[in-house]
Amino acid sequence: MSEEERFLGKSVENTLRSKIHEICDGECRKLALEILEAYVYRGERGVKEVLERVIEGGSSGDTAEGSEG
Amino acid sequence: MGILLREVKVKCFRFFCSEKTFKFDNGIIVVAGPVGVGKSSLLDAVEFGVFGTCFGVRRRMYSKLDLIHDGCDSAEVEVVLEAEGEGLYRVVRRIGRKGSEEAVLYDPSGEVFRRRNIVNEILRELLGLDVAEFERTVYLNQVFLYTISYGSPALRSRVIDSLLGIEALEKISALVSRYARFVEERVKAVEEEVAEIESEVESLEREAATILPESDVVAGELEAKRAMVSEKRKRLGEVSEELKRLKKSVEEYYRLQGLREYLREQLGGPPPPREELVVEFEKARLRLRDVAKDLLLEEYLKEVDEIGESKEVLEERVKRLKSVLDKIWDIYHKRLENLSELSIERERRRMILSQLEKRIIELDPIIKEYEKLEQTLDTLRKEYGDEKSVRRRLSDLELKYKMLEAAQFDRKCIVELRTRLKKRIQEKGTVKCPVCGSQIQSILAEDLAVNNVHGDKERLESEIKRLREVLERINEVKVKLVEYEEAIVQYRELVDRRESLLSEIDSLSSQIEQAEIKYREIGSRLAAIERDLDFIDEALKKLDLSKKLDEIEDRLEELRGLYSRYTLLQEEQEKLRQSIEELSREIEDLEDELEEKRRVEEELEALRSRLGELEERRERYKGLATLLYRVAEAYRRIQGEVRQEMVGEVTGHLREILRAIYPYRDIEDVRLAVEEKKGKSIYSLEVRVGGEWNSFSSRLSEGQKMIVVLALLAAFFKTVKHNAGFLLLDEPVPNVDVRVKERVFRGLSETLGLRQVVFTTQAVDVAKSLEGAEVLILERGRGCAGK
Repeated sequence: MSEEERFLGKSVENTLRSKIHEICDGECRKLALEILEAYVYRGERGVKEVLERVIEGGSSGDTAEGSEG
Repeated sequence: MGILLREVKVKCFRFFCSEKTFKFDNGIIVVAGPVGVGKSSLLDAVEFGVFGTCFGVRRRMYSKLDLIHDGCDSAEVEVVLEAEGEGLYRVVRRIGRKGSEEAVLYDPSGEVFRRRNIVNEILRELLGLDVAEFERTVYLNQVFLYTISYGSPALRSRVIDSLLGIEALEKISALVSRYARFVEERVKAVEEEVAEIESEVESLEREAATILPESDVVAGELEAKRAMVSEKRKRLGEVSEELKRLKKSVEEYYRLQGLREYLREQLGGPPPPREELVVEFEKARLRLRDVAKDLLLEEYLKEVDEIGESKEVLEERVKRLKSVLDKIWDIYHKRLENLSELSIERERRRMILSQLEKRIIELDPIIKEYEKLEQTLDTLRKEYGDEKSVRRRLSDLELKYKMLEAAQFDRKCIVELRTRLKKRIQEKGTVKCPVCGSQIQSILAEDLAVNNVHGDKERLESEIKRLREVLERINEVKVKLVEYEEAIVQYRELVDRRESLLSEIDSLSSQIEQAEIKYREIGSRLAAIERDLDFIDEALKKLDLSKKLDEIEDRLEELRGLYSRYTLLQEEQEKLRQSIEELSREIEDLEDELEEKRRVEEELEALRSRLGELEERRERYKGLATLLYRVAEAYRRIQGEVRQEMVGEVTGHLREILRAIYPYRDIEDVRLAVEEKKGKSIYSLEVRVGGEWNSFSSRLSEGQKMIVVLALLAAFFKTVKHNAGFLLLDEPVPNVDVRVKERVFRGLSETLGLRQVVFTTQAVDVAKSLEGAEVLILERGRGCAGK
């Protein structure tokens, strides 16, 4: 992977990961981390792909019932 | 660990057309020179060497190929970094005009890495920075300085968020919120569909409620009708079986009916009785016998008599007599043919006659000429006598003529003598007589006697000539008659032959006429006999047909009972079939009714199932929308918290750095604040001057602004955790005096704990005046940058 394919600095990514772990849990944490991972390497396009997959029921997002933020 | 910059080698990179090497020690390094000599290119070379790209390329201000100096095929950059306690990392990057890229990394252990992604990863790990972080912390370019200094609050806020590295959070949050709204819209759409299906379900349930209770009644009715159909089918089977048995008899009945009609039509009426036919036959036989007798056919006469005496049945006798009749007919026709031969012979003779007559006509002028010649000859004979007497007369006349001629000669001589004597007497007076010798003294004149002889001679000559012409004419006629003799003979023969032929033709005509009369009469008798025999034969056949007809009538009478039974069964069969068909239709209707009920139930079930699915989906979407909103909210919250934390940390570093790099006390304090305005976070950089906090842009000079912003950027450098031990500044503070500049670079070095600060400036004199700083002066030279 080249640096040009990275959309978020590593230090910020680490900060965000720790924050997500701090304020989210369950499905919310899972999806937030998945979105972060997608953004880091594919930018907004990656986030859109994750969200569309979740909406169409192809990810953990389809078991959103009972998730706690 | 601090990573230091030790060497940069450039070749055909941006403003550098040839190979140049720059070495870097610790401390402040000033790259000075006028505009366009490659100061910024040198700093770009550091970024390209480490990350393989540049700020301008990433911002799409120019392409990677624009990094290659004009006129060169490729560009090459080599950067040497020192990792404290570890050694030197040497990275070489090359980019070709055709877009090829190479990267080679030599690590302190001597290992060589040639795959670009591996090289990039190692260097990223070494510095603890990716390229974006490098650009906003280590390589501070004028874009950030000027945007923060002079940009609008919103733009400045975006840049600061970018420098903090948290602008992505807002994007992610907005994106997730957008998708959450989209999911909510889907929830609404599903709810609408649910409402629609619920309405359909309700309607179907009402329909089902009205029709379902009748199902048992319909099922009972259906069962009863099925039983009836079964019973009727059983009876139909029996009837069909019996019909099958009767079918042959009925077919015979129909066939015989047809035959009876045919025979009736053939018979026309009742045939004559046989006895009458026997009498008629006998008459015909006798008439045929007469014919045979007339034709002198003894053999057939006997045969006819035998038939008359035969005890055979009439049909056989008729047959035999007809056979005899046919034979007599044959003979009759043969004789007629002979008669025809006679006619042909007559015709042939007529043709010969015609040819004879034609020839006779051709000979006719000759015959007439011949007759005319004969008449001429007769006339001549009558006038002159026959040829013999004419010749005799001619001979006499010729003799007579000769005598006259002699006498005329004698007289002529005497005259001559007298003349001569007379003349001599006149001359001499006397002359001696020549005959008697006497002296003659005078001569008597007798001249007339001579003239009379001459007239006789002419008459004789004329008569002789005429007779000679007659003879000549007779001879001519005779010659011609001889010439025509052959034609005359032929003519006479033809005439005789014609007479003979006329006689023969008359005879033949007479024979033919008599024979024709005879055979015409015999022919009519034979035809009458034939008609009579045909009539008898036909009548006999009719008698036979009549007998057959009686038999058919008897058989039909026998079959009529079976036929009536068959008809009744057919009617019953048709009624049964109609009844079964009607019942089947009713059963089909009832089954359709039951099917309709089942369909309603199934449809209802399908709708309920669909409803369940939609409700499930709706719940899932609702949960998903909630989840997405929570994620979006989480990102917003994280962004807020991170921002606040970073703003606090940055403000602390900012105060420290500003105190270190700004030598005056007119700026009492500085802070970076953030506040929410219309859902957006707006940053404000504030300074306290004269005890009051104000926006830095309203209170500070341009130079002060640059210093404050530089301090802010340096604060970001300090906030972000990384391994870089050097800072690159591209013309950071153009509008400040030498003292301030020196303070800025030293202060930055000290407060940030840096061992290397590399900055560029166009002010060469300022650079030279910086105490303890290493100065790299770039000069223009032949269109390329140089040291």
